[in-house]
Amino acid sequence: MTTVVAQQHTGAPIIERIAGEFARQFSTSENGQPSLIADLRLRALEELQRLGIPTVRHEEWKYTNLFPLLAKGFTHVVGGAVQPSALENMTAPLQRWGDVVAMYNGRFVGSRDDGQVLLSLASALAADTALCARIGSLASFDDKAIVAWNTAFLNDGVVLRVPANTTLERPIVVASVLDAREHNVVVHERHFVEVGSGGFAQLVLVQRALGDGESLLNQVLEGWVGESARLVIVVVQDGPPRSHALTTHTIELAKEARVEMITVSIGGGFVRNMPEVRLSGSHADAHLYGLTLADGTMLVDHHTAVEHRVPHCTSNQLYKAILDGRATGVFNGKICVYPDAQKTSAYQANRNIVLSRRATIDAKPQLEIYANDVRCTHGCTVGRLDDEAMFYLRSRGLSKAEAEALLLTAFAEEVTTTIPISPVRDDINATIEHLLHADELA
Amino acid sequence: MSERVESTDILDQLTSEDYQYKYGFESPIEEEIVPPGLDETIIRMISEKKGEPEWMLQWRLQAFRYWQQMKEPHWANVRYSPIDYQAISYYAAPKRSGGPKSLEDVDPELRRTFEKLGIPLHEQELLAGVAVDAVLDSVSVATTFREKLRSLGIIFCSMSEAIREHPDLVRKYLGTVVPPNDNFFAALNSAVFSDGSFCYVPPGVRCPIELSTYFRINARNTGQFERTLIIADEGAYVSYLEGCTAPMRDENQLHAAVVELVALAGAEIKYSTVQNWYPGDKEGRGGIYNFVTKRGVCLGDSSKISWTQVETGSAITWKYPSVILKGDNSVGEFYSVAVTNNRQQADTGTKMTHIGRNTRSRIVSKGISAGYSNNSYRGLVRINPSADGARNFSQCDSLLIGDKCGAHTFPYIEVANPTAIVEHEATTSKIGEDILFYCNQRGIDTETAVALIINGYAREVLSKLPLEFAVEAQKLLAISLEGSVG
Repeated sequence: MTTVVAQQHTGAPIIERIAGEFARQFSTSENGQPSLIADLRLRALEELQRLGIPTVRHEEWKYTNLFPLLAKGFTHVVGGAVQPSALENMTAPLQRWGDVVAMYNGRFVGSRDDGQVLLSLASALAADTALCARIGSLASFDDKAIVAWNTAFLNDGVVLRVPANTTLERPIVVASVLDAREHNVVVHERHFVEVGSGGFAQLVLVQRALGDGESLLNQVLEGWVGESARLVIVVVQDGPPRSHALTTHTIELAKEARVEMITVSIGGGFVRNMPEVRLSGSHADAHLYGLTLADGTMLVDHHTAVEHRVPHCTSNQLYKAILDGRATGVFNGKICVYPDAQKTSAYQANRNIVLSRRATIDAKPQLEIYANDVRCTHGCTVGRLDDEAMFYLRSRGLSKAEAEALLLTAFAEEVTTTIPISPVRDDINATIEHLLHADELA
Repeated sequence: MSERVESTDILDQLTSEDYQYKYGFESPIEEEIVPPGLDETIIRMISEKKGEPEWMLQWRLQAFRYWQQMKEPHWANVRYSPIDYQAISYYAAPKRSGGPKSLEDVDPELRRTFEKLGIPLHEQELLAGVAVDAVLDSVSVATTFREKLRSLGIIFCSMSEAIREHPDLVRKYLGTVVPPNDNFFAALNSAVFSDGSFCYVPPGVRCPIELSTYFRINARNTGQFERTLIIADEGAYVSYLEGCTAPMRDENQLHAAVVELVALAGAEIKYSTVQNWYPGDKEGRGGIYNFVTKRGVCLGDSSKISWTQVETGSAITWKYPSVILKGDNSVGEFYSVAVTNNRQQADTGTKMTHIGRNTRSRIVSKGISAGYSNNSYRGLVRINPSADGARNFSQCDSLLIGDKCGAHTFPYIEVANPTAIVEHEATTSKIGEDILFYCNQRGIDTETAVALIINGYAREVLSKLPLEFAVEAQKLLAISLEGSVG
């Protein structure tokens, strides 16, 4: 009994602040957005108030304590004035990855809104009531405090609609710029992706921090991949320790659709990714890959959920982590096979290397299976570099540092090779090699 | 050839349409039962009935106070209607005056009960080579083989006797592995436990026979709360078997036991369980709620604790035999076969906590679910920062028979030492059609083929059981899955 009371005590002031912030932002003006959304926001806030901030006593948050992060005190911000040149400087290097869309403090900026394929969520919602009804239908906030928090502050984001049988030649790069020059900020972004049947799109999500304050991005993406369509999402988290992220990317696959989601967490302070894939059409195929490279006091949590809802689907997950310093790595991978989802084939692998005495890894691969004609496996390992491989390299004249760097790079690049966008892959590999000092090798 | 006979034997039982739970009888023994409900008076009454010293009573009362503060855990992947803890009678004992001095003192009806269960309670059956401490409902009724064990310095007796005669040992170790405030059910057990087995093996002694306890819930509306404490002193070895049955009833009965194992330096404890509590009928009515806390501690260097369990009974199983690997170079093992059929639910697994250096643990868990049952493996492997060179290997396989059952895996892996190596793998699948085809094609019908395949699947665990149990366990496996193949 006493613990419950204590729990409420720690979370209550934060929820109170959030509710106050909500009242300040939305009671004065509704920003011209339809009442459907206003209603959604209100329900989300109520759910958040009901749930409270999840503590480590919550099974889904057992290894990830939100309180030290939230204790930093973040101010909710939306948009604001920014010098175009400052934004330009930040996003220019990303041009080689694809067409860049900048989000400034959660507000769609620039002139990329073409009214058809790529739109700002705020303008799309104003024009399209059908879209309003679909928001939240995939990323439900029931029992999910972080999604509820995001939905309560739903404002803007990117809407990407790929028509049937259309291939987007260039990847879309969404650069989330968080401006923490004045104070610590929390920013909520809501993205909406729909790939029509036979379509193909590639999306890169990247976060950039401005200023010396702490910034927290709470990003929710809802994506529908149509029949025989393909969607690639690359999430690049390479920010400084003062930039934090909570991401919820929920994708639903139709018949024969395919999604590839690659999350590279090689920077940032507190990172929690919650990719969720629903295989709702037969022969759908999901691939989730993740890499954690953590040092210092970083915390990276990959919390995946793959739901096999219909027969004849396949899924594959590979998550790897290298942990140094006082870093914490968390992996929670859930595979759920619904009743009657026969002929499911699900695979999940989690491999971790711990380099330092003060680094920790907590892994919880999890299978929930309600159908019998399935093949589901998961494997999880935690260890150090293979002694024999080290010996092999040392015997060929490599120094200890060189041999380590080489093996670690090889370990990490098993994940990055799955990135189908070559400029992104090359840049990330270069960063990884730099972080692992592999670029210093002769 | 004998193997062949064996398997047709199983088949006969398999094919008989309505196989009855073999141990479902109720013995008409006069019992002394305290009124249902739980408060301090009941605890005082239990303690008084057992003639316990004051410290034991205080220990129970403290546990009861913890229990009152605690809430029933609901994180396990099982569903059941709420338990009314005030409707349970916390003490039921066969009526008698004084403790049994010899076998002649034991109620003949009681002896017949145990004969039905096939327990070699009689000294004549010494040849079976098993020393048995039998616990009916709450009280230990007889312990065989006492003399032989005593000559080796081994103490094997009921818990109440141990409290009376070896209070120093009991006080030293009771509650050190599973503290009274460990969890809700352990607290409840600590408050009301009525009996159980106690075993102490002195330094350097290798217990020559398998020790065994047989648990049986007989009376209606009672719970069974036994407490087992096994201590293997330096360099000692003991192998311990535990079996359980209960009559068939429509209502659910609660079984909340606590088992504590302590292995000092160089000692080895092997603990085997064949759990066959009444699982309820096909619609899920009745059956035992089996909420058990079992934990061993490898206190000294190079000690070893090994858990082997075959779980086929109980409506609900909530059980995680675990090992705390405290001594350097100590070893923990967990081998489990859990079978659920009809509406049974099992959430079982293990916890391996590595503290000492070069500690090793191995987990092999085989789940089989059939009918409408749900079978979950839940395990924790924790490597503390001090556990240099720790090593763990876990393997959990699940087999699904029928499309209405569920198999789940929840392994928790927590590593805080860079020199540790932890491996975990899990698979879930059904019996391969190609394997069945292979058997069919060689003239083995499907039902036999399934029994064969399951036997092979579980062999890795069954082979760890002492011989006496291995045969029983194999039969149990086949029986539990009766009617689920089709």
